[in-house]
Amino acid sequence: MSLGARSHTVLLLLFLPVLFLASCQAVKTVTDAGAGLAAATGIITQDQAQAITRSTDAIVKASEVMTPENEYYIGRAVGATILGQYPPLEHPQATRYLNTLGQALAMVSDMPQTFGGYRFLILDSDEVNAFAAPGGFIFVTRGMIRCCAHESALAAVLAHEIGHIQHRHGLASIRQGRITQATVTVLAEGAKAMGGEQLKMLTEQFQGTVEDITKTLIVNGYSRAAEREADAAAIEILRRLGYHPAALLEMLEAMIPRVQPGGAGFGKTHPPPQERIKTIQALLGSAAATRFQEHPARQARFKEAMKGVL
Amino acid sequence: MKTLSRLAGLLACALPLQATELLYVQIRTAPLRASPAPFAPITATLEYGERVHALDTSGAWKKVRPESRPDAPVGWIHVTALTPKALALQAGTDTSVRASSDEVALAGKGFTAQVEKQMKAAHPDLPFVVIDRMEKQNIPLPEIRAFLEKGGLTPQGATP
Repeated sequence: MSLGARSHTVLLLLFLPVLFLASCQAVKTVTDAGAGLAAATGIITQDQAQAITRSTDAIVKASEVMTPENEYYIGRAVGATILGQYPPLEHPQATRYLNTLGQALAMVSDMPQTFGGYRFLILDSDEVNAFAAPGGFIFVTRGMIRCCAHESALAAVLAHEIGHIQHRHGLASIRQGRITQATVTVLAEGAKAMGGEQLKMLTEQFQGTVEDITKTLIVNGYSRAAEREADAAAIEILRRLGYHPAALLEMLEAMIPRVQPGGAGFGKTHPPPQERIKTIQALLGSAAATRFQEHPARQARFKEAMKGVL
Repeated sequence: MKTLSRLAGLLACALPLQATELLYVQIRTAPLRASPAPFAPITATLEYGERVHALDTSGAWKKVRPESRPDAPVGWIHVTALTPKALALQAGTDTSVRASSDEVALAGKGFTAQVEKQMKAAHPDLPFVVIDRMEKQNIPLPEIRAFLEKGGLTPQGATP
């Protein structure tokens, strides 16, 4: 049976009884049952269910159907896949500092909490790179930290990655159709316990999803529009916490000599720093011209925490 | 199919008439705060699936009362931690303070722990153990507040 036909069947089963029941209570019960099933699967809403009925080749958008819990499990698997290629840096002091700074920044973002919380880790690589896996798992390389002259610059890097999480950019990189398949698998399963075949299918769809996102993070990069959104979010986050947003410009300027266009890491996955600088200058307006002195206490603790990392 | 779509549309239109202010916590643990600000003191911690009544809104914050804890204080929670959808409970969770069973019919489905277990079995080399370790890095609020203060940082809208 085609996906469309299967989804039609599922929706028919959900809503057909309504045709035969007249009282308000009955209608409510059936509606609740439909919404309940959809919500309980954690993967589809009534709106999407209707969308599936309207078109046999409907595409279900990941950002609309994924619950924070689903994102969390995708993020764990994406993170584990990244860690398979980039080993973590064992440095408790720097890790603690990074998480304190990062979690403070996340708290003032438009998505202050994720299912399992924001977590940050340094990768032991000289490549200039940073990754944000769904659910709030953020990774920064030593090479990237070396582009940061002070705490405010590191805050700018983390705020940009939090921007990607807040806008759920990772989910947008999932190949079209994959989520529709997963949605139908879950819906078709209904109230029964998940059988071996469904679990196998769902696991394949899960692994495909993880591959899509990891490939975008490591190889292809996000769209320029997504990068602009993350930079705009970073400026807002920095301002809200009390950092000078021009720190983002300083960090990008420091990145120029360290990143080869088309080279490894950011050179491959991000627009050139020069291009981002121009966009950010426009966003900052007069604040872009300001050169600031890093607060002495921040400078001191950054240097102390990053001993052996820089 | 046209009739069915129209019917489904009608049902969707009728839903707001229920005017429900019921919302569910959709993250693992959600702090309830004394005021609608990121660093406001935490007065209680709500858990995944808990049902709350929304009483007021201020920007991206909702003032809520946890339904199953009459003694719990009214507090503020960020809208991104809430959903109007009845959430599925995971097997083994304590249901006594959560939504009643008629609203939550199924165990958690979709991309969940069960699916991760399958992936781990197929790829035992993937370092999920590092992710587990990473998750332990939860910085307590007092430590974050002290960090901000020592760094001369004054968040917008923060309570003194």
